[in-house]
Amino acid sequence: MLGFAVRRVLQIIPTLIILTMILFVLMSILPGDPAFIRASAVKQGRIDLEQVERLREEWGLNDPLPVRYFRWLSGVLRGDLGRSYRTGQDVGDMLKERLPVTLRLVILSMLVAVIGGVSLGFIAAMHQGTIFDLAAMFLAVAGMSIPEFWSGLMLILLVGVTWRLLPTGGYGGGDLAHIALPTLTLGFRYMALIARVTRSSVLDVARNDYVRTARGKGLAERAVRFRHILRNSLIPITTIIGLEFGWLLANTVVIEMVFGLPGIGYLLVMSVLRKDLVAMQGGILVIAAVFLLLNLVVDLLYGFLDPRIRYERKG
Amino acid sequence: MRKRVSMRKFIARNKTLSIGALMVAIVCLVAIFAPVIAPYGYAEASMRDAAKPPSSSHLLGTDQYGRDVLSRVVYGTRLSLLIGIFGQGINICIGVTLGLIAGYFGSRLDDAILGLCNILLCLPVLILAMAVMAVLGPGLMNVFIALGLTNWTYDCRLVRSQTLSIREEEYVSAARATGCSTVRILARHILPNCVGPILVLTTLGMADTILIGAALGFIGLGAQPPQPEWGTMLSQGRDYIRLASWICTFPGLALVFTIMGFNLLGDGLRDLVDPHLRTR
Repeated sequence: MLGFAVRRVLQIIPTLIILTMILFVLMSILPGDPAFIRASAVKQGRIDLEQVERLREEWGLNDPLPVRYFRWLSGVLRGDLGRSYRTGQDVGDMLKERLPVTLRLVILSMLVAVIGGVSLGFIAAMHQGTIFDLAAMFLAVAGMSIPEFWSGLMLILLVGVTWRLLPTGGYGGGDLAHIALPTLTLGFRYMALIARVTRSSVLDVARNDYVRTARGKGLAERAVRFRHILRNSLIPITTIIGLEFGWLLANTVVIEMVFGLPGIGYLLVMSVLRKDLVAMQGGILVIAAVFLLLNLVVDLLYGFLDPRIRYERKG
Repeated sequence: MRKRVSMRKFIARNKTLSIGALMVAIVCLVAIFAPVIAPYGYAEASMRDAAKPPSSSHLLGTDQYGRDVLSRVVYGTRLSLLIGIFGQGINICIGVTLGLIAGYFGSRLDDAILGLCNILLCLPVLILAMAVMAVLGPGLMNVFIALGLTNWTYDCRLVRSQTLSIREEEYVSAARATGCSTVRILARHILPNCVGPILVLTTLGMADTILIGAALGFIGLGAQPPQPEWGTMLSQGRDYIRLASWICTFPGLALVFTIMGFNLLGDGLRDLVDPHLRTR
């Protein structure tokens, strides 16, 4: 198990390096000279060309691309993500301030979605063909087709404006009242997907001979359901959780825009709109890192859930 | 021998497919006949009628500039379908080409292409598309390009794995032995075997592409006002949600209808093309 884990961790490193290279090249062909933008931001109206040249020199923008890349990479490895060209703020600090907001949103949504989705799918499968099953599956299709930015707005309208139950936006220090609507909105699609996969996976497992054997030998129905059926249907569920996590992560961007939450996604959109290169690179890097980390966890979970996988991947 | 099935039986047997096809057909018809259906032009504004609730002259109300919401939603169908068609079109071109190359030639080319796929998969499509949009600048045309460039990995991996298995078939060896060129083998013997799964993937991909295109519009990077793109309309109407909720409600409903149609159609097609994957 340990060897498998180490191998898996080492695989991440080249991927991240190439990803940062692509990002860096992409960002360097972005139109608009950052020194120019900064100079015009500092001094309204007139632009001092000498100052632009000085800024270019100071930020090392006159160096060739590979030199700039390695300077940035070595900075990143030391934990220095650079300073925003626009505001001069340290990007690391900017991200550190906003990461907890996004992480709290992501983790809470995941919890809601996994618990809700697995129970919904499991109950639906156990009552196959009933009205509950139909309702759950309709909910699942709806969940996959409703865009978060719209359902968020509708929730704001209904819960916040019409019923006046919860605040309509802002972070408010991260209390449950402020984060409840964003969490539900973000988690809904993920929950729908998990419910769908859980249902079909549970139905698949329930047809197996060992389930009939377990019932035949007089095991309590409860034990059959949880120990034999649910446990064995966890692999496809884990797969979908890992596969669709990217969607959840990407949609924090949209959710943070809808509810005005000061997270990484909000920062990313603002930096893209304002062409703030350094902040954008930092934001994307953090999102990629979180995504890769979770995929790693999912892969390790596979090894844990299904011992066969550990041995198959060897050699 | 193929059994003949009556239309009614086919529909009864493939409910998901039929409902999805009907929904997609409605969306396509609305897009084609938009000028006939829409009672006003999509940019026809009159400040006197700003933010009026639904009434007999404006069935879905008017927005903050006094434009008819129904007309804008109807014209928006065209933009969303275009986003889906162009985005998926570029995806198929890139994905199928690279997939065929990777699967057929194997070795180093395969490693390189698969590696590229894996790197692109490290970032969610929306984030990648945002990065590309940052370079290209906002605008509908750039949405096509950004979505086309970032979402082809699924097509590529599908075609690659199909090619890998078909490559070893006897009829491919036979074609090679009779002196067919590589391009001919790929186009005439391998590609036709991938059409079914590609169709399924593309239909489901249309739903995703339209959704992400609208999300780009919503965060201000996609189609720009006054274009009646649904996501852009939602972001424009967001500030008025307390006073004029209909500005946001109806574009969103249209988006849900369209995406659900493509999702259902894709699910139905999958059941039809590959009965093994049927989810009960």
